[in-house]
Amino acid sequence: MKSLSKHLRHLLIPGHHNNFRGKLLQQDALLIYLVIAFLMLVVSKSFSRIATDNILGKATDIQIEQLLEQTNEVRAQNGLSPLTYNEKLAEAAKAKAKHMFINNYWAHFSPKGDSPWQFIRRSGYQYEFAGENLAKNFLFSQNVIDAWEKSPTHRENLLRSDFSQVGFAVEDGVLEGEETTLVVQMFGSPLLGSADAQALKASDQDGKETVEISQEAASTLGQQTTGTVVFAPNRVLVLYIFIGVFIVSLALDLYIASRLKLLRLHGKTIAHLLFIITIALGVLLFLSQGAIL
Amino acid sequence: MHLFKSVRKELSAHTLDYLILVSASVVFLLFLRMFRGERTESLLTLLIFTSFYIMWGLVHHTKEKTLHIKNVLEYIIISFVILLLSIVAFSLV
Repeated sequence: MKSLSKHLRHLLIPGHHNNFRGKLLQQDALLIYLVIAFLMLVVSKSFSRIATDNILGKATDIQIEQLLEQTNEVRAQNGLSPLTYNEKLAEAAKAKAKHMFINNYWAHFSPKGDSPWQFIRRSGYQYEFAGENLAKNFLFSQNVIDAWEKSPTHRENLLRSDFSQVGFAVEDGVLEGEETTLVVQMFGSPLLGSADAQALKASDQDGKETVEISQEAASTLGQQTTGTVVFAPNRVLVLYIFIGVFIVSLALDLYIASRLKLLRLHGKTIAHLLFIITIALGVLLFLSQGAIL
Repeated sequence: MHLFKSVRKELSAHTLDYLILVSASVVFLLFLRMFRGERTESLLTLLIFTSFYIMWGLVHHTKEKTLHIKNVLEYIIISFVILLLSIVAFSLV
């Protein structure tokens, strides 16, 4: 215990033992961080190349099960019934995502005028009401639902009582020249008398849990969640750890140096702190977020 | 107490320098907000801000007559570590 605290002091607290600068902020330690960051860049590029070759997708942790669960949580909080997962709507969502990648657009309507409803009709789903939410470049399922919930128009779709079914697609590809993860959410309520309406009625009568995902959908999901997926949150965590270490060591350095009235080269620590806090704010508020439409 | 005193002393001695740095930080955050979900634009914003920070350090220490290779390296390394890790974390390239 004593040696641990001595070690921590050596790493963080400026004093005689470390030439009045915490070891974590000394030049050799900074060089080690740079080497680690560079190695991480090289490794992550290799991982993403392997992932692309194996069609495993990009390093995100967006899962259809979670999207469905969180959508229904939002509805439950507002006193609405849960949506059931529909294969045809999921198929329509997937077709829409692929269409956006192939035709290079990010919009509800394609440049040629294809509407979301065309994709739903082509999947064989006969609807009375239908809706679509889009998202891109998010890392986590929860962030996608949170962003939709904060936007009035997307929230309207999430909370529309006319909708009884939903389908999702999470697709990776190149959009407008950059690697992109698209999330498409298609809502619907089946036309009375259609096969989907009858299936929905039957499941309601059976009193079954209505948020189940079929075996086929689950296996598709399984394909998306293998490979690099686990890697993404870890990489974000590494960034947060580095930012945390920098902020703690710089703040301690500033505090101890001012207490000991150490003569320092002007402003370095305050400037570094300002810079890293700004980056931390940017990362937390904006870089970890995607765009919605 | 010592901390606030020394921070205040440093800030009041170089008000213009810190005003420029804080303004650039606010502009950086506004641009990141504007380009939310756009990887290329976010990367460019990050690159410009980190380059600006290194330049700021050079100018600040030149004015203070404390420009030393160790200082320059420190600004460059801290900026690059943050830049590279952000690129890796958010797949910006």
